[in-house]
Amino acid sequence: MANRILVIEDDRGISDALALHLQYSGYDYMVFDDGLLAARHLKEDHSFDLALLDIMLPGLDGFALFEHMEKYNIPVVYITAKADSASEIRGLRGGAEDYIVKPFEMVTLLVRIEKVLERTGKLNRIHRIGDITADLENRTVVRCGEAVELSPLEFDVFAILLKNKNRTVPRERILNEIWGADWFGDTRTVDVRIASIRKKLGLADEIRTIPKTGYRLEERRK
Amino acid sequence: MKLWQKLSLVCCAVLVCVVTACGALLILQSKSSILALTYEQAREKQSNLASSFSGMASYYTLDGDLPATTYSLVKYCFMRFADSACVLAKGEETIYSEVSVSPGDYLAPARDSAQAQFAGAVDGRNILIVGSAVMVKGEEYTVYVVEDITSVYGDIRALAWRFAAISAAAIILGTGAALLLVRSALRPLAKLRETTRRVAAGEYGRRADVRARDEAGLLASDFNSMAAAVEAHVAELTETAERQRLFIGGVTHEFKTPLTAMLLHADLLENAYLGEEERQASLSHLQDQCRWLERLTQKLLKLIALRGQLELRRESVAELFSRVEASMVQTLGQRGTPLCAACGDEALAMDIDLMQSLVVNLADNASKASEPGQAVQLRAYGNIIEVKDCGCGIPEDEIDRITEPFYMLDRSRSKKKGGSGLGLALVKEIAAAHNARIEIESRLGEGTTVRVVFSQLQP
Repeated sequence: MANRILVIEDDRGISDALALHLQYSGYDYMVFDDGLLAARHLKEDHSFDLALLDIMLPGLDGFALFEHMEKYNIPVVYITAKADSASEIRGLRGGAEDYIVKPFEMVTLLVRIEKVLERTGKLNRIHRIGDITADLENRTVVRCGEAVELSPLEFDVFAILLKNKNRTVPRERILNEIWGADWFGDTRTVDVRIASIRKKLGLADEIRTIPKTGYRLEERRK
Repeated sequence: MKLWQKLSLVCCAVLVCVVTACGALLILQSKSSILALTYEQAREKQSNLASSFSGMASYYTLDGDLPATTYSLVKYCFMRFADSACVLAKGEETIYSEVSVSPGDYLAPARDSAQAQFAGAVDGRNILIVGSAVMVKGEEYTVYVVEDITSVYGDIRALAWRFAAISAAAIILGTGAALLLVRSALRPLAKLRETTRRVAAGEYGRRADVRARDEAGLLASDFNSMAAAVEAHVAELTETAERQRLFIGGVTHEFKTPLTAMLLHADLLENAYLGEEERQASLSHLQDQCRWLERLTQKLLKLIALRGQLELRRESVAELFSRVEASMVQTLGQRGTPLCAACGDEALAMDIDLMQSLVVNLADNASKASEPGQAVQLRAYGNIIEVKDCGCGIPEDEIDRITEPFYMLDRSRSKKKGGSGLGLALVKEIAAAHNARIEIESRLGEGTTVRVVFSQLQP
């Protein structure tokens, strides 16, 4: 079951991009551009794992919306152009999980979302792609009902690609996340693991090599 | 050295000089007059003595007396008048003396009966000797009066000391009085100094509390008016700085939203696996945001450029309105809110390009607030240009704020219609550059009237 994220942001340019990013990273989402509408919707449907809230919103502002989120136990991450520390303190003191100032990088936002979900115990650990199901918690991979044996390193590399589904992941990032930043290994170590993952899981096309950068696990759309 | 110290010292010095000089003069004068009196008394005593003695001695002695008889008689006669200070001598021989000095050693009176006098120190005492020769029956005697005037000198000295003591007391008292006087005269200055320091330290609201009507008081009141001017200027500067801070804060805030959207879409285009349709959507979002930033910077530049000075010329309002109509006819046509312009032959001092921008901004706002079918009215009468709509109106408590930069009544609605939040700020700046003021009259649900009122004193 994918994590469900509520996005309340009044700028179309931002909310559209956020929605696409979330969708590709395997999240379900719902977007509102008005605080009052969002609050009204929450009364009927409040099964969200996380809310991304802008602060300056028409209808109800982010701080006011926070109380509604609290009622339904939805963790809140503020995304706002208000960079003053007073607002940040107010937001975090109020109980928000995080406070992100615009402009921000999507990569960091995704990591923060993941961390919040992890902290609140709501992070979805089971990922699906095609006919493959990976359980990141128990470190098992099942393809068409059959368990596939991956070496620990192969599993780690595959997990990173899964968590960044549809996004290009640079080789350096994979190296850093698995071997640590101090490791001066050859990036070809990564290439070797990728080759064997492709073979074992039959993902030769889905794991695409992005020239001079890294790899991307692409979910073929119907 | 402080002024009060200087003044007190000068007072003290002057007092010392004057008192000392006067004292010295007085003492010298008293001394000479006392001495003169003493001498005079001694001389009188001597001359009385001499004449009484010579009269009596001449009467009693007879020619042909034995020298011993004469001696005894003379001595007897002398003793009748003499006291302990009188000496009678004949030549080198002292006939009668009760003093320890022999006056003959100091004084040799002339043969005539003129008095001779000696004053001086003998054996540590001040002695005055007055003597004269007296002839008795052809014999020459010398009559002396020997006065010990040490005590007179002592008196003079005592007088001098007493005078010195009194002078010293006078000097101390005088200096003290001068000190107090100077201090009290300078106290307002000390207060003023304290206030000056407070003001310098940033307490611009401080005023000197000096009510004296002297020079210090005048200085204090001048100082207070200076402090008031400084305070007003500082307040003005602070307000300007605060306004600019808010403005810059607003600018940054306004830039952040499009920047974030651009970043996110660029990230999508670079890293994500997008379908063609999504790619196009992202690209057009990027372009929209770029255009939006461009519009924002244009308006900002205009706003900043306006802070300079303008050259105003007398232009016809009809010309202005026709320009506005020409530039807006298309947009307003699309929105279905026609523009109705009406004016006479008014002419106002203006920069017509900027004034066009002002009227366009107002008309644009009016049209955005209106429903399709409602007209935007443009009128000019006297020194007033008026833009009127029958749209949604402005809540009363927001009217004061709508000319603030980046203030929007309904953010998301305004932005969908392409508003930047700078239009009315720009209008206000342009009006200010024309010495005109903006009047806004609005009723919720009934419409808004904005008037640009030019100053009666057309430059």
